[in-house]
Amino acid sequence: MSKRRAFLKVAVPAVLFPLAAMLIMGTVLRNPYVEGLPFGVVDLDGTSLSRTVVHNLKRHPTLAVDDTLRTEDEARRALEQRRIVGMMLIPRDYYRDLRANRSSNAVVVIDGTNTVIASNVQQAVSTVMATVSAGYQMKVLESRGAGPETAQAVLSNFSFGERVLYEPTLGYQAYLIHLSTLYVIQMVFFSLFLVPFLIERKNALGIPVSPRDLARRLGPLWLIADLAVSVATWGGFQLLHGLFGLPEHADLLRHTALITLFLMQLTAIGLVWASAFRDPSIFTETYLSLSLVFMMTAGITWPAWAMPPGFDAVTSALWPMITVALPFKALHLKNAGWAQLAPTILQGLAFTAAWGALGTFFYIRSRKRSLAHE
Amino acid sequence: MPLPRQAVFLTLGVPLLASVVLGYQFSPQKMIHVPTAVVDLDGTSLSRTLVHDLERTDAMTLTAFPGSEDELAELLQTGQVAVGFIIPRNFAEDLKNSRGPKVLTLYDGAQMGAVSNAKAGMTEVLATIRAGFVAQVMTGRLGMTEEAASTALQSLGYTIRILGNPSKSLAAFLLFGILMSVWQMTAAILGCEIAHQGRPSLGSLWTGLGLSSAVAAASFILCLIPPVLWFGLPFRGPGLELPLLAVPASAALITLGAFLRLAVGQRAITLSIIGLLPITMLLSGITFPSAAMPVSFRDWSSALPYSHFALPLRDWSLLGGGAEVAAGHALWLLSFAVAAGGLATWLWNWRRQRLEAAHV
Repeated sequence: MSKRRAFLKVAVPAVLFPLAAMLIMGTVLRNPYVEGLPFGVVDLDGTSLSRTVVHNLKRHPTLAVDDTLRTEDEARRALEQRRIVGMMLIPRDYYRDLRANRSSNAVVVIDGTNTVIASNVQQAVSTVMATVSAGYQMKVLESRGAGPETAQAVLSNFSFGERVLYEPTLGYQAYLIHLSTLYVIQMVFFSLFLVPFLIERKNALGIPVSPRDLARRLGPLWLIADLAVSVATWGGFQLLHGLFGLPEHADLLRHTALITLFLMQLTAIGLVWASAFRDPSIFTETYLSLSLVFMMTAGITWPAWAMPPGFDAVTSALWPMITVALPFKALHLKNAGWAQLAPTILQGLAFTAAWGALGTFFYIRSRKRSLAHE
Repeated sequence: MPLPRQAVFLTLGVPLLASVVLGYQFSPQKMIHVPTAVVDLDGTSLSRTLVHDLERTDAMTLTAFPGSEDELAELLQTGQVAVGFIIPRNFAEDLKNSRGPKVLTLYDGAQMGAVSNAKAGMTEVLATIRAGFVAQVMTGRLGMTEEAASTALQSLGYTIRILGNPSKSLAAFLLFGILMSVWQMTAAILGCEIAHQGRPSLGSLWTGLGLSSAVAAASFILCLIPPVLWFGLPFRGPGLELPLLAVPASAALITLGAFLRLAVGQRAITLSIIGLLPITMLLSGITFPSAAMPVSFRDWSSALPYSHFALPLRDWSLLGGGAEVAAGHALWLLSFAVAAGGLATWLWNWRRQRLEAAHV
């Protein structure tokens, strides 16, 4: 294979695959808000208060209220048939009972199979009920002789505010895009380039495969892959920032440093994998089958502090994604500086050194076995 | 003709391994005890009562008590805590004099999963605390009786019942979907391995596809066992009727893998295409709702085999029900298998003829 072809074989997928994946993911997940969820309301009370509740539910952007349902049975059937994702039943005499300080509850039933949808519906209902409640409380206080200002002062005397930092919308895009980018980088680098290359070199007869020779042949391609994937993904994040407003603070240098560290760790563990396989396709099949497990144990979907004791330590000793995923996200969303990244870099270097030494030993041994076998 | 050993091993072994590893990881079920820091700038008995009330909730664990807002900012920046709570200076005095003190909660938006849980817990706790404080003011400043204050503070009563996953367990929400994504990859790989030109006859190809579907169906069912038996994941569906979903799903994925291999020809490229299958998990709406996707992506879900086995499986797991939950989906998957199998057969014949023509 000519040098030019070898260069293109590495550089083109390293640029195209991550960039395409980022754009697809970014587009699918671009909307941080879930809106227009079908929601049924059955108003058996029919008073001004219950109508205010229904009116406020209709105005809430999360919900698309269907108030054509006349009975509880109709609403429950609609819920079972998945025509609506939730329903509210306002009972008869709801307002009268409230005024008489008698306990009477509206019943809200939500399909909980998709937690994201259920949480959004629950939040919308809670917001509406809190708003209508506040108005009702003001009226009651005023009716007991407190002036409007006093009533307002009493009810808002103790208030609480909240602020979501770094990614105020708490959207899925920022939640997943950094992890999935690392996943695609890993797939391109590890399963399309690195390990198949190492296996082919291992199996090739009549060529020297000393560590120095391997480094000389792998080195230039490795650097091309590193540079291509770093620049492409950094550009991808700038693009997503420009197109969809994804919070983005990383500079190219720190981004490249983390990607380089990740690829170094993958290379070290890749030597071990390459020594275990003779057929590159069998390797690819094994890797593909396991790749989602690597992704799901990276500490993003389920954070390290919530894992069972020792789980994160074992995971980070076996695979580098958990070491890099959180700092990578912190770099892009929080503008993490060198000082914050330093522990990750040290841990990554230690991983590379340990697995690199082990991998080199196994790789040379399996190369010798391969030659003896031939 | 025997089945490819490595691919059979992967199909049976990897989903099972994934179910043990991920089942163990998700075994706490919910992200409770979110690490939280409190900055108490007031330092009075009232502010300490507030901190004590926060400590009592399961949603978060108070892990740090920084002395200033800057220290809190540093903890949030480095991800050591996901939630920060600031009680302002003169909180107790301002409350007493009705000057409306405001406590502030800061969330680390980079930790969405944890923050969503913590937010729900925090809102609940603060609403209860607030009601207590306001009642005190009513009885003290406005001279109302306790009963009158309680009437004035009466909120609109409502109860929320969440069907299927009332505790909003992330494990119950996600795990089966992830396992099905791992499983579909291994099943498609097995299908890809079956459909190579080494098969001496069409009968051999179909026998291979049939046997592989049986292996994949066994794997489908096997990988559900550890999370349910060992890690407390709910499964309210009918165990005996699982094959109703597992067999058509396996047939669909095996024939899809075979079709791809015969259409593309090269094993390596076919595997690269199979490597894209996890994206179907995203597009199916099993996690991120289809309703929030751009219009052009919303209808993809119903055209993906993944949606027709992962979604009914989760419904079974969380809501229960009988064969009727899966029947329509099973029929869809069988139709898909027939279509993909038919195309694979045609491609196999076509390639065979070309090969024979080349020999002649």
